[in-house]
Amino acid sequence: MKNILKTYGLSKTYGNHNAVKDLNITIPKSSVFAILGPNGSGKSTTLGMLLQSLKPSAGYFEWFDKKPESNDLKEIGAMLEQPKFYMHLNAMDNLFIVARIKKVPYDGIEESLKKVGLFDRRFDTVKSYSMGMRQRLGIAAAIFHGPKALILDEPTNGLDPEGINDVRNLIIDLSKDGLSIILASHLLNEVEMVSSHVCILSKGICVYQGSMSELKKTNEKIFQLGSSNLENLRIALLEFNKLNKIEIHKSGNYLVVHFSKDVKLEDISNFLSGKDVFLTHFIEQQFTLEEKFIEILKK
Amino acid sequence: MIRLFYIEWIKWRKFSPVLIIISLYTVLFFLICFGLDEIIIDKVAGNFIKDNYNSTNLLMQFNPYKFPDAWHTFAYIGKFFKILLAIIIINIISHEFQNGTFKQNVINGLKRWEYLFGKLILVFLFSSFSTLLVGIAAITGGIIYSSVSEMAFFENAHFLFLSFINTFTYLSIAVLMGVLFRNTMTAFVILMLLWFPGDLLWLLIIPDEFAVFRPFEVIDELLPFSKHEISVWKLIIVCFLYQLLYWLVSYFKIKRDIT
Repeated sequence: MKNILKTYGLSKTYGNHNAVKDLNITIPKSSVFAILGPNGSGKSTTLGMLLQSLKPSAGYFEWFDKKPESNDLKEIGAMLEQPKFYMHLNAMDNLFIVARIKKVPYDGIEESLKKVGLFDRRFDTVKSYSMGMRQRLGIAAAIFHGPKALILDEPTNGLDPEGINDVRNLIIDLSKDGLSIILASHLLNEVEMVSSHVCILSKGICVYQGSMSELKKTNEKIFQLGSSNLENLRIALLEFNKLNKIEIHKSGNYLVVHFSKDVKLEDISNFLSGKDVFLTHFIEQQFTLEEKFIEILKK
Repeated sequence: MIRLFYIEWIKWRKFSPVLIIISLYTVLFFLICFGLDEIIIDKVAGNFIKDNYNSTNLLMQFNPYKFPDAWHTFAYIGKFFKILLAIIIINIISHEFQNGTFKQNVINGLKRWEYLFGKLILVFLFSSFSTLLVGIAAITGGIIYSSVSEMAFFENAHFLFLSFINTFTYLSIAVLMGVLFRNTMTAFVILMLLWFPGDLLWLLIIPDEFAVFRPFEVIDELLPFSKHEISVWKLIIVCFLYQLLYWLVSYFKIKRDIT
């Protein structure tokens, strides 16, 4: 099995509104696959269909190379935005309920609670837990039966920085253990830190799909360049044959210069030395996921 | 089925509204049955005998706490307490919809019919519990008030079964209200409105001969104050049909997309 999930023209409409339209995604095994998009882009609707709590209006999908059956849900762990628990019960009782529902043994419960750091609080009622602890309990509930895939919808929503950090580290650890993770989020910097693959949704349509490294790849190299006289630097660069574009950095202290992809650092340096222009600031600018995301959505 | 029972058992065994109302139910029921026994016997049975026979000497002879009338008497008293059980059922269902645990259960792999079957088990258990209390009260009252020679123990014991059907049908409506309105207060108020004056409004649109088959009237008629006016079997069959309707509507309601 190379892929854990494939969707074929998956669509969901509510009246005249297309919540998700003709979605074709392939999620490789052992990847952390992020579904990104602004609010209302169709992320949760997509997950709802994959979890069989929403019926697709058109199209279909295959979990683990076969048509979905309700039994497949046992092989998938899921935690939606804010996991729901019986607040009057403790962590163990809540996980017993999940185990009975999934018809799986209790064996993994204590181990999963250790993994998410709640073992010592396992007999406390969930209502005494912080938001972050509930979120971690949600992940424990989703993984204790050893699923092949884990779906997380906005796992860091409403958490404080410490809680966000805990959840992020947990996702990284689980992915290192070989678990395939599907992560829906609008927190781009969080996604960037943990994801290997990404799908960007806009108004229910997938506008980009591929690996994170592929997404951040560009056709040009961009540098921040500074010198004692920015105007001289700008005039000198205009004669450089691999130049694409020059912009002034928002701070006003540097130029942001776009060169063709094959430019070398020493080419720029040698060329400017020949023009008696000396650099005081020289940084290669990397695209962040956020910049690429905005760029893709603008298109 | 054992699995679904076990799920419900874990969910609600520590749920304080269930524990409080069940305790209240038990205490109130026995308190009224045996704390007010003299009043019930004197005022209800005594007046009835005085009015009809003009003699208080018959009081002990027609004592409703004696066998075989004890079954009927305690089943009749018990039917007024089912409203407390309806509150529990509505509260449990509303709690699951409002806190999102119903949705979480479905995401975890619980089928919708399994969810509803779990509630059917709860309704069965609560109905059995109320029937058990009626049985214990009837046996206790019967033994206290009957002499050995009068112990026609099993005569009229079928009122226990009627008590069970009475509670089960009423709680089935409570499940439907919980599923439809998903809020304890709203569901309970609408249940009360459907009972009164709702059940009376049926009289405007149905012929008199069917008046006894109104949704709440038919439940009430299972345990009348005096005698059954129509065949008990007819009442039971109609109650079963209503139960079927309530559970089917509940199922189709939760079968729709989760929103």
